[in-house]
Amino acid sequence: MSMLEEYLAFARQYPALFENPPEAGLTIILDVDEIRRVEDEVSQRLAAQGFPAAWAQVGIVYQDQYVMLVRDAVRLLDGTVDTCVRSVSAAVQVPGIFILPVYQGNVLLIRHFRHEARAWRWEIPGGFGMPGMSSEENARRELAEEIGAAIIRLIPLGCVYPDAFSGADSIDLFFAEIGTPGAIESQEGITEAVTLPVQTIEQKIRSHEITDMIVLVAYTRAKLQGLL
Amino acid sequence: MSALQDYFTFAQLHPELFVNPSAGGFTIILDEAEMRDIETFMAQKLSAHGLPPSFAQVGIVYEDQYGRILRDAVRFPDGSPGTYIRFVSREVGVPGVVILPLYQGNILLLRRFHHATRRWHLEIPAGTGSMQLSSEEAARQLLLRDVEATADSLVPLGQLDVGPGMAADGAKLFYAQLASYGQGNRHEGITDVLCLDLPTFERMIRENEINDGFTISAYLHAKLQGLFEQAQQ
Repeated sequence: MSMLEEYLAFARQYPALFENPPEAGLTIILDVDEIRRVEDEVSQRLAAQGFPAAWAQVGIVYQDQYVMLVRDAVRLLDGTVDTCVRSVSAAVQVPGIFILPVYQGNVLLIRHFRHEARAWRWEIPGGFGMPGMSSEENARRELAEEIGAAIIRLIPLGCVYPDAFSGADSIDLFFAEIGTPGAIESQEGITEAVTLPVQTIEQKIRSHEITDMIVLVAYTRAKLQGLL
Repeated sequence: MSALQDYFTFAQLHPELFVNPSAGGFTIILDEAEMRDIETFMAQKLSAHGLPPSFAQVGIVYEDQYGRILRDAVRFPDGSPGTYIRFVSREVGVPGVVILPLYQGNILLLRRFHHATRRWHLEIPAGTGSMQLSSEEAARQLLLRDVEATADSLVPLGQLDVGPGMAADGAKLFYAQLASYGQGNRHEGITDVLCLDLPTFERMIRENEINDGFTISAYLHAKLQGLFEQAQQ
């Protein structure tokens, strides 16, 4: 199967990722002849900037066991055409999950090494969702794996799109009252778990010791729901 | 030049992206023989799961005009081998900008269609930064471009790490008091501009109508810094 045929098969399999609602202003083109014309036009534009023409090729342009990138041909509002790359990884699998754990009234944070930043960050437990499991089941699994804790009460905090500019991936958030934390999962780059009162969390967000978006969003939702 | 040589050249140009922690993190392996061993190990592991062994190849594994995906050979804290991918944008280290705009005490919210999700989101103005501009300049340009707005004041709310993700650049958050605003930019996918009081905005976050991570993060910083109270005075 050619790269384009694979892409078109993918589009048929996941129509929600290829919606063209009226007024969207950015229409995905799925007609093969039209795609070819867009590729030609964009490849000439890229060549003029000294970039390889191959970067105009429409299709599934990157894939591994975690991530899938597609490059779409699109028509903009003014009729001009372009190509756009987006990540559709979790969107075709299951949402990620992150959990704000509270132990005896204090919020639990983990010190987690982030490969992309080559640095540690204060985060909350979570990660990829496992296919075949509900988000609630995934939340229980992540808490058990990462901090060895059982859940006493689990409350959904809605979903969040961490970066709708570049990816279709969303995350389901939870608030969890937990039992005594056990061993942390050092293999995943977690070096420490701390429990902090709400005032300290707020002070650390204000002073930018806590900078992780997912912590901020989960904290905000829990606060607005009156859970903290 | 081979893919691996490109990767080594990139590592030499950006040593800050290849810093190894003292202990407890993931150590990047740059010794070629060891990298090859890790690739072989991972290829066997992937094959056992029915996945292509090419997913184990270390190097610059994807590239376009916006950035690259690197697949690094790493050793985990217990010394076991593996590979790890990350996205590095072409303008390495340039953060995005996000602006929480207030107009006469109300929050300006955009209804914006995103190509990546193929749906509308309610969110505040946000976009990429540029090497040629300071974050403040980029923020003012973005306000003008997205919603024809000019700001009387622009207050930095600090750095946000966007996660979990493959990219390390993050975003600079701002709070703006607008002097004026106009129409949403249709070419940017913006089809409506809403002006909401704080209780409505908070209800929409609580009830999951606002699900954009940048918007909620900027709101929290402004709230904790007491800026909404100041705006009401």
